[in-house]
Amino acid sequence: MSEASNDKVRIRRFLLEDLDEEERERVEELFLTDSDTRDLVLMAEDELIEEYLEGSLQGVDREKFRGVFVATPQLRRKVRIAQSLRSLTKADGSHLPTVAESSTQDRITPLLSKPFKSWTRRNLLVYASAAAAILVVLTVGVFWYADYRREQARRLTVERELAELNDPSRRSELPSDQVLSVVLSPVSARSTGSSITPRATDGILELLLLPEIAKAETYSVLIQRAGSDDEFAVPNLRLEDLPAGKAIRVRIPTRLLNRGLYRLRLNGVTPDGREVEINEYSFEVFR
Amino acid sequence: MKTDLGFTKEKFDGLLAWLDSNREVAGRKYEEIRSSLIKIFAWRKCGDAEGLADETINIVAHKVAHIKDTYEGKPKIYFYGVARKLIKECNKSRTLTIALEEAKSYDTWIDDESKEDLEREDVCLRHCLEQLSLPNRKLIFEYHEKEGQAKIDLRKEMAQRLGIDLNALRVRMYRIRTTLGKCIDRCMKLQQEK
Repeated sequence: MSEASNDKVRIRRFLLEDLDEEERERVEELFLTDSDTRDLVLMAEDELIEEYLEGSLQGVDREKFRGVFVATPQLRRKVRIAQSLRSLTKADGSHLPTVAESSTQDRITPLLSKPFKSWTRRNLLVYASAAAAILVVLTVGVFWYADYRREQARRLTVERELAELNDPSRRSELPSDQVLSVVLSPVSARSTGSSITPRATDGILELLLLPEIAKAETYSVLIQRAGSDDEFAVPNLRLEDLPAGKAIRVRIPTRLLNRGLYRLRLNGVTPDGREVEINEYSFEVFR
Repeated sequence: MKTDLGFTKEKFDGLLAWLDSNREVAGRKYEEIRSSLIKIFAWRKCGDAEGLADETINIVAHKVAHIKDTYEGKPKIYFYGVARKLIKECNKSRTLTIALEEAKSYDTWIDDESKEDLEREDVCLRHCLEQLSLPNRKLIFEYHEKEGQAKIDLRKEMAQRLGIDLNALRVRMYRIRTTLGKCIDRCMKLQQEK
């Protein structure tokens, strides 16, 4: 491996808090004193953010990235701005209007003759009011759209994380101190669901859903918190033979959970490809 | 723990003079040191990274008069020495902060700031993109346009078109992003002052 790629790996490990204290201090000192190192570290940081946002940063590195980049407003803002830039790019924002384009009318108006001017002034007022109204609508639209994009991106990120965590081919047994397992039976007239108090530190809530019928090839779960528009889908789940019985296992990072009542809709994909609702479950989170 | 030592004009001038005899160059060095310190404290997960960077500068400014004749070596290393001590203090108090941060839901991790802040950020991003030269604006949009293999192919094509290698393209994009980032910082400050 060349010296340059060694440096790249070391810097990446530095950003993901993967260096010992002595090495970390060495990189920090160089970051402050050597402009080439500074550029390399900042470029590596940009690339990590890019990988995170496009989903190619995975597994332990993804978790470490979150651990660092959630911690301070500066880093959170950097991630958010990179995300907004990506959204604008995808929405073809390269055609943002420029100041020069919008000032054409200002240059034309003084050339108009006087009688014509008073007639046009009235019309211009009408046009100006209409233009202002359109501008207001457009501005509100732009903000609404930016909010919508941000919300979409957030939802996609959560769903991607849930899909990764529940992918049967990648799923591994986790240390028992990191997992809180809860067996859920379908909601019935007499049941009220389970109450869960996740630990404050990061962990995984593992729900074991006991289905009333189990004829599907695969299953998907829709998670929704009461009183919120958030609805997250977890696809490609399978029925497993577990000590609790035949159950569908769904893992959710506890940091994604807010206080409140959650409803889960279990759907099954039948052998002929139809999706049918099987059961509904609920649990309540206390913090 | 914050130290309020007071930052007088004399102390600031003394600090600048220690950094460089040319005041303009010293000013640039000062800005660079401050922004580097903010990054270091942020990567160390110290909540108030800006405050700690200012505190580091404050402490150094108070010591300059005593050390400027005897201290040998780059001033930046001295700054780092002070920062390292503050990092240790921050590490001690960080356990509580981490517990609180981790207890936050995803809803608050990416959109932790107020709606006004997020709107300001959006306005500033758009404003600053407009401030870029047209070729740079086109470049940054094109650079971030695709994902996966299509992204790799597009970037190769861009590098070829510009007559540079991929690494030089990465550096060019980094410079544009840095310009954009500085503009957004300035814009955010102005917006907050309004």
